[in-house]
Order: sequence, then C-alpha cells, then structure tokens
Amino acid sequence: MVGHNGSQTNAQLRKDRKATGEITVGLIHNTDTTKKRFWGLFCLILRFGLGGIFVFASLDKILDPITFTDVVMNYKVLPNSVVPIFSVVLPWLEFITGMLLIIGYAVESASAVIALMLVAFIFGITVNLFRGVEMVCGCFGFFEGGQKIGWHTVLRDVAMLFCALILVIAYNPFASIEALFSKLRQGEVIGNEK
Amino acid sequence: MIGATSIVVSAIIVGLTANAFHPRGIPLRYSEFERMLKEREEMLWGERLPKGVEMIEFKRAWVLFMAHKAKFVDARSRSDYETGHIPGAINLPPAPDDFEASFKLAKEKLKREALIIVYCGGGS
Repeated sequence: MVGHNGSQTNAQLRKDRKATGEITVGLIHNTDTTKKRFWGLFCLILRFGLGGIFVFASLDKILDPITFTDVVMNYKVLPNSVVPIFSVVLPWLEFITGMLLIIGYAVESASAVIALMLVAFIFGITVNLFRGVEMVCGCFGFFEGGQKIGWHTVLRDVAMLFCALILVIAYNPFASIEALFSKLRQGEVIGNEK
Repeated sequence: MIGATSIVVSAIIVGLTANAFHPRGIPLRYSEFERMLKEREEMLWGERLPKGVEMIEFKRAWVLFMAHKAKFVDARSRSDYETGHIPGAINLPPAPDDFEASFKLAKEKLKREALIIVYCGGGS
C-alpha cells in the first residue's frame, strides 16, 4: 500500500513540475524525498536488525527441537499438550518473519507477527520472574551461554517490540523487494503517460 | 490481517513438515515426547553411573530430606550456592570455582555419611 502511494506522489509531482515551474516545486520535492529517504533508511536498519536477530535466534531451535521443547516446558506457561506443536512451529515463524523483514516483503504483516511473538515472550518471562524461577531464556538457544532470565531480558524484548511496532505503523519501503516492485510499476506508468 | 495469517499458516505447515523429516524431530503428542525424554535420560545415564549411584526423583529426595536421612551436596557454582541452597547442603562447585579444594573438604565432611544426595540446577 505504501508503494502504491509513493508512485502516486511521484506522478503527481511530475505533473506539478510542468504546471508551476521546476525550481520551487523541485525544492519541496527534495525535502520531501530527503525525509522519506531518511525514514526509509531508518526502517531499513530496523528491518535488518530485527529480522537478523529473529533469523539468528531461530537457527538453534530448528536444529535442536528436543532441547527447545524442554525449555518451553520449563516455562510452565503453556499446557503440556500444546508444547510440542508450539516448539516445532515457533522457530519457523521466527525464521520466516525474520527473512521477510530482511528482504523487505510483507514487512508490516511480518512485523505484526513479530510483535505478537514478542508480547508472548514478554508474558512468559514476566510470569516466571514473578514466580521467582531461575531459568534460561532459551531465546537464542545454544548461542545464549546459559544466561538466566532477568528484567534485562524483558527490557530487551520490549525494545524489540517497540521497533516492530514502528515497522507496523510507519514503514517506508526502501531497498526492499516492495520498493523494487513499485519502481517496476512506476516504470509502466511513465511509459503510458508519454 | 490476511498477510499475518498466511505467515502463521505457512510457518505451521513448514514446521510440521520439517519436523516429520527431521533426524531429531519430536513426537507431537506430549505423552510420547515425555516418554522420549525419559528414554534419552536413561540412555545417557544408564551406562555412565558407577555402582552404588542411582538417579532419584524429586519426591524421594524430598522425603529423605525431611527425614534427615541424607547429606546433600550442591554441585552448582559457588555464586549459585551462595544465592540459596538446600539447608545443610555443602557446596562442591565445578571449575572455574575451586573444585580440587572443595573436593578435599567435601571428602572429609562426607566420610561418615551413609547416604549422599548430589543436586544441581536442573533444567536444560
């Protein structure tokens, strides 16, 4: 949807340039684009960061489902009957959403799913912190070094949640497959106008 | 909404399929998974436990603790032990804490004990 709006704005600005003179509109056009570019770059960083973290986190859980299922059991938040299915599906959900963020396809949807996952993680960790349980997070599996959960873990997840929500609400496609698609569409539009 | 749902659905499909073909895949029914865990544990420990040593369940350790019938040994790190341990337990931490010195001390303290229960952090 953002891509569609982008192509509309550019086509509109091209018409304006012809009507009101290039220089004035050109200046407005530039600040607008610069803001867009900055925000696009910021979103790119968020995408790569958040996406990278989630792909990285999913790896060990995919390779060693037995250990991860044990970790999920330890949380004692989900009923045991659903734990195996959850432990099998979640790592792939992390992997897929992370990849989508990195390549830049369906970013808002993927970020929404990531936000939901983070809410679930924050809930699980907080519950166990209040129970006073000493346990490992299991967030990164083998690459975690057996660090125990603490309020810093919650803080870390909240920060990531914040980033995911930014991408859901105010995403700007830049260096992404969506931008590539919309550029291709724009190309067709220019062709038709001429 | 549709995007998010399709992402979740594809993750379910991929996950279940991957698990079916995974060499270390898990059974999806919890009772079977539990059984698998127990079998693994027995395989891991069954061959390695020397004579006179056996793994016991929590309940049995609890009963023995209440009856003062065993001496407890905390095999976790020193800092974990200091944070909190079973009352009366002595600490026998692994490296990098001083295992050698602790072992000498423990040997002395446990010389006359008939039943010793060693515990650690548990979990994964």
